[in-house]
Amino acid sequence: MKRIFSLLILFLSLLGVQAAEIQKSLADSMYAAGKYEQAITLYQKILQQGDNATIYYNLGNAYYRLHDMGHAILNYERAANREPGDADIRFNLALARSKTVDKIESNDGFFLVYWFRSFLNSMNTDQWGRLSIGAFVFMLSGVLVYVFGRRLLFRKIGFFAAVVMFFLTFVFNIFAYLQRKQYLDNTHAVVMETSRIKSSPAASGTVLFSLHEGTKVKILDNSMRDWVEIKISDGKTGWMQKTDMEII
Amino acid sequence: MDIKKLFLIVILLLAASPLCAAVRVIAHAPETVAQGEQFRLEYEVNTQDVKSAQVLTKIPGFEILYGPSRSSSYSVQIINGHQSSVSSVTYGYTLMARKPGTYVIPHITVNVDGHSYASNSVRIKVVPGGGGSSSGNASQGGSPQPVNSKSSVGHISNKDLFISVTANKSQVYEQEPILLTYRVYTRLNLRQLAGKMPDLKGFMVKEVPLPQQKSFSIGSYNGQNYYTTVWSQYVMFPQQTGKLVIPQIRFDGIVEFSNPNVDPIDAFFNGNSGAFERKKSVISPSLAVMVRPLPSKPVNFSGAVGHFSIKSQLRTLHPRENETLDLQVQISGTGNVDLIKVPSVNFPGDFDTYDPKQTSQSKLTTAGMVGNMTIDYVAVPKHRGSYTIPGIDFTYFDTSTNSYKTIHTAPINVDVAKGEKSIYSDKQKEILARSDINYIKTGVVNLHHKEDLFWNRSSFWLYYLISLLLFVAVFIYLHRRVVQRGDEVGQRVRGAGHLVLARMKKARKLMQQNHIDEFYDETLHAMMGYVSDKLNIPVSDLTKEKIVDEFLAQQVPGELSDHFTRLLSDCEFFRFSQNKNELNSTESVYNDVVDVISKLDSILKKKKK
Repeated sequence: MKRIFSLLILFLSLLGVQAAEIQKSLADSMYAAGKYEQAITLYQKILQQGDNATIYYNLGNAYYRLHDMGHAILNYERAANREPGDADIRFNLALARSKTVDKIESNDGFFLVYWFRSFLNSMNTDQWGRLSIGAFVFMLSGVLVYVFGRRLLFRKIGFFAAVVMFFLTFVFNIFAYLQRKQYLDNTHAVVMETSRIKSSPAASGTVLFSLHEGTKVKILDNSMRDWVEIKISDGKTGWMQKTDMEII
Repeated sequence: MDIKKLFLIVILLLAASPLCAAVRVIAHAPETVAQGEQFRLEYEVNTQDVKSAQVLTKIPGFEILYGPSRSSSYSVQIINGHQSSVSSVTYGYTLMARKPGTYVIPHITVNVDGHSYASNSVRIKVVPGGGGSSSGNASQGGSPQPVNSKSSVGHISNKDLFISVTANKSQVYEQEPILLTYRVYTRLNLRQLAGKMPDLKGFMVKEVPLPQQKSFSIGSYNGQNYYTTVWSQYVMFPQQTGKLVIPQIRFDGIVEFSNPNVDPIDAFFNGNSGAFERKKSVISPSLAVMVRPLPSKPVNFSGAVGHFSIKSQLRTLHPRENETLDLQVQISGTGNVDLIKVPSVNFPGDFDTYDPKQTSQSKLTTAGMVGNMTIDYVAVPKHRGSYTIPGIDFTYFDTSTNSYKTIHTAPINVDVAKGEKSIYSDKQKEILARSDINYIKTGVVNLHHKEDLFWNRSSFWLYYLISLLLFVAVFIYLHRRVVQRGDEVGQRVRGAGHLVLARMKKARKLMQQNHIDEFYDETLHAMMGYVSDKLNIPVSDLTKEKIVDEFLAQQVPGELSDHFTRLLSDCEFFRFSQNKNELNSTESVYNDVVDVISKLDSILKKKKK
């Protein structure tokens, strides 16, 4: 059975471009059959060819099924980074996080900042970009209605629409910019195995605290070869061995 | 007897009782003596009000050399204004042991203020007299004197000071404690001795605390009498199996000699006692112990070896949902209490469990460790209801039966009440309530490059450009149309004169062809059309009154206005009249219309300018 599958995969990979699509449906059926290891291999092969949030999400699901919370969270995080507004991704990520050891009190800060973040994360870069084009088109239409409208009411509506849409065009582009920055930002990582966080970048350093599989950390200093300075959501910082983590 | 007197007596009795209770008679004698040695037996009564004491005349196994002698002492102490006095009476006997063996000296009774008190009895061991030691230098009193060797002063042989090692068992199981005893034998005045058990690989070693002040007693070894004492004791827990060797230990000692060549009087006055010290190292022998492995271990073996009991208790009296619940398990007994692996508790699935907290208390005794381990299991029930925590199994190796034993605790029923607080937020609850992930997304996906974003690429801005171009195009088109529409009106106004001329030409043609009806019709149209175009009023809205009003507004002279309306009426009239032969009239109408219109046109044109 396995042999046939591997032959099939080989055959499909020879086909080239369309291989990814077939590989995905094959991987999905593997997942459905409960062969999570094979599904993982296939999803990873697809990701070598290109990038897509759905693949990361499915890969995360496969790892979750194998109780590998570290990799599950890593891939959910990657998926969420690409599709921040996707409800499935967000739900599975939250569920996987609830199964991790570290329960770190996070200080989200001011509620307006939190609201803004969640609003910004309701769409990804390109969705904001498309929205900005839409706003621009509406703005131009508003100008036309204002200039050539026969009736006064139409002209008033056209004027206000143009002003509002002009403003929104800017705002949406700024949002797209912020999302892109967040998306390309690689200063976050997920802990892959239990790690002792040291006060200094050396094995002899004092142990400050321990982090366990699946915890998200922010990278402060990644300039050293083996050690990374990290910060966790409650504000504590320390040095962690690079091998214990995986960058999102 | 009245009640008051009775009370008084009771109170007096109560007050007197502590005094009575405080009377004690204690017998003092050395534990071990050598045959033929003289020693002292004393009975001490801690009060001076002794009326009489029983006199011993015969003690089995001993010869009474002297006694009883009575001596009394009294001392007063004042500390911080508190005065306390201690007084005692001592009855002393000097005895000598006749034969080796163990003897019990019976208790005596003492009469104090009419009450009689009994002393404790004393057990004395008599060892065979030997060596050159005690018989000659009979010691006075109970305290042993250093036994000087017959060999030259300052020289110490291995027979004068040595250490023996004994183990209470030569064959043990893994983890089963062995008691190791180091005993010192000496004939010298030993001042100091120090030696420590090194760290051993195969054993966990614990030293039994012994009093710092060693009390020597007389004991025999290989038929020789020595001063001897237990110097140190260790409890060894074997961690490995096979033949384990306890190595030799080096003890460093200091021995004091008195120089017999020094005159005691001279020594007293010159401060030179003649005593000198010598260092001496003693090596204790090594000892081999056979450690047998435990028989094949059951799966749930806790690692405990010894003898234990277990009990469990629910510490939380009223468990509530989302609140911690404390189950305490106590394992107590003799054995390696500190090394017990915590047994697992199968809490119901609806409980969140946390790492148990364990504390152990143990005391080292010569039988091994005696103590208990307390394990606190913390769990949080998530929902209310009735649950049963199953009994806990604890398997250990029983050294008394040399077999594994499993003991259990009783199952515990827990009634979890509704809790007030919730440790989870609503969102977390929703997540936890659905304990499984959402399914994978099936269907076709588009792969792209990670850096490949639509936003801010040239194609993105192209959309802006296209919409802008489209906007400009639409703008230009609409603008043109507006301009065009404006032109049409002007043309109509300007072209009104030409139009009316064209129509009048047509009317004239009709007149020449003698189509009278059509002529009037055309003329009427020409006039109406002219006015409509000129005044920019739809034909349908035109009435004579309106025309007059408009002409007035355009400052057309009244006679011209009248003429125009009259001609309109004429045309309408002739159009429907039967009299169509008046060529003259048609001719004149035609000329009049042309005349009036040309006049009007010139006026309206002027006005326009």
